[in-house]
Amino acid sequence: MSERHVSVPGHASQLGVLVRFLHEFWSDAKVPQATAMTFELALEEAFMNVVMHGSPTDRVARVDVSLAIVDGELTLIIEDDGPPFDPLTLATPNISANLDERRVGGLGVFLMRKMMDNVRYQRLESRNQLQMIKRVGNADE
Amino acid sequence: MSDAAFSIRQGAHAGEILMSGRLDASQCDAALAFLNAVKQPEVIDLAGLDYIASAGLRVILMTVKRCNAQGSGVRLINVCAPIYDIFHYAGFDQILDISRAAN
Repeated sequence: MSERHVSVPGHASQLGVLVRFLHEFWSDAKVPQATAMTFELALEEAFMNVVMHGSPTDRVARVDVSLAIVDGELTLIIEDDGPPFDPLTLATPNISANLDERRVGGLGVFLMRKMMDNVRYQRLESRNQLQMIKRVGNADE
Repeated sequence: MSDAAFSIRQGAHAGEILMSGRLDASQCDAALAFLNAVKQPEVIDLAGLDYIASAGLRVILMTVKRCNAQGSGVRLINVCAPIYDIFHYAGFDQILDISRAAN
């Protein structure tokens, strides 16, 4: 089992801290490159949602991230103390639309749900919690 | 995964653009500004790109839409497998001209 935690303010400038956090985790727990990118994308999308929706004007939300691998299953948990916000309620983009009709944006949560085995949101007292789980293949894949 | 900083620059000719490193949310404004300054992009070579987030997909789609409106096309070439997967999940492989990297 391998597990790591990090806590950052919900400000866009902290994205690099989270990237380094993930890279340190990958150096311990070898996972395929595609899986690593999946989690990087999922964490960035979740974090940027907190940045955009989770910080009222008078304060910046605190964001706690934990990543653990147990029995070949990676679990990423992102918690913040911002106002209630369930990203899983965001509208699903129409990816079948042709180029002219295709709307730009709105893909972050959609990709997160596509690439993970399981994504769950819950409101825990005064905190939002987003949990993402994916079974990990062999690092040699 | 690479820690390489994002880079965008012109290639051998005016319509060729080379991207490398990580195209995350923090780099998208700069990437879009660069692309918007290129009058008629023809090829975006992603050989050196090793990460893209949804904000990066937005930059790509905005650029392709702009070129499409101008009556020109843009090709995305040398796309590595993990990034091609993201394009596929987003449905970009159905609406954009994308070529995978050789291996």
